[in-house]
Amino acid sequence: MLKCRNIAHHGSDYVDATLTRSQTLGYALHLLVCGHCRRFIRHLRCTIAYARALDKNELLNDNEAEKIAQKATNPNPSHPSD
Amino acid sequence: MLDTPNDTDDVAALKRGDHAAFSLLVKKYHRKMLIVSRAIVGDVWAEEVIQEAWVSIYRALPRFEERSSLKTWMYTIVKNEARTRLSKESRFVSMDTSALDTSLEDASTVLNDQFKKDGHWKEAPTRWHIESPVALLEEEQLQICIKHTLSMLSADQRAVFTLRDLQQLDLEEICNILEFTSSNVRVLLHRARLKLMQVINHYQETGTC
Repeated sequence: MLKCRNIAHHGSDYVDATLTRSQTLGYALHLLVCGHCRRFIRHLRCTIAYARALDKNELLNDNEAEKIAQKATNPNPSHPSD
Repeated sequence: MLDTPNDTDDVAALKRGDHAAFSLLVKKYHRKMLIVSRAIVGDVWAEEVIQEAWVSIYRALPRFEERSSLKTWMYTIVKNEARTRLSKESRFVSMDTSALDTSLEDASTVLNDQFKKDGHWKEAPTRWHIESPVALLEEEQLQICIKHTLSMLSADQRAVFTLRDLQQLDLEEICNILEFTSSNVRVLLHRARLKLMQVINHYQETGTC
C-alpha cells in the first residue's frame, strides 16, 4: 500500500495521468481510505485550475503587441533618408 | 483595437499574412514565449531571441503544415532561435544539470518535511475555506501573491509550468522544446505547483500572503 508521502511526491503524475495502470490503481486505493491525501490532491487540482484561470488575463496590451508585430513583419524598414 | 483572443488561433488568416491576426498572436503568446526563451538563454538575450523568433514565425507561417499545433510549432521556433543564439555567443552550456539536481533535492526536502518517518502526514493538509478556482479569482490579494510567486520561480520551473499548466502542452512536447528529460520535467512541474499551493495554503489560513 502506498504511503501518504508517495501520494504527495507523485501528485502531479496522478493529476497528469502519467502513472502506469497498476500505479494508478494503488493511488486510487490509497485515496479511497485517506482523507488527507484526497484533500491534498483536490487542492493540487484547484491550484492548477486557478493559475490557468488567472493567466487568461495575462496578455500584452494592444499597443505593445502591435509594435512587436510591426517589427516582426517589417524587420528592416528603410530610413526616410534612404 | 485588437479583439480579445479566444482559445483557437486563426491559422488560415495567419497563413495568408493577415496582420491583425498576427498582432493577436503576438498579444496572446509573447509573454509565454519570453518565459521559455529565458529558460534556455537567460535574461540577457531572451527578448532579442523572441523578436527574432517572431520574424521567423511570420516568415514561416505560409509554410506551416499543421502537423503539430500552432503553439507547439511556435515554441519549437523559439527553442531553435534560442539555441542558435547560444551557439553564436559560444556560451552553450549543456542543460543546467546542477540546477535541475538542486530542484530535485529541494522538491524532496520540502515534501519530506511534512511527513512522519512512517510516511504519514504529520498534520492534515490545511483546510481551504475557498476550494473553487472561480471563487479564488475574487481574492485580489491572493492574485498579487500568486503572480509574485510565479515571477520568483526558477526559469526552468516557470517554463515547464507555463508550457504545461497554462499552455496545456503534452509532457513529451515540453521535453522536446526544453530538451529536458521526462523525469526532470515532472519534478520541475510538481515543484512549481507545490510552491503555488503553499501560497494558497498560507492565504487560506491567514488571509494574507
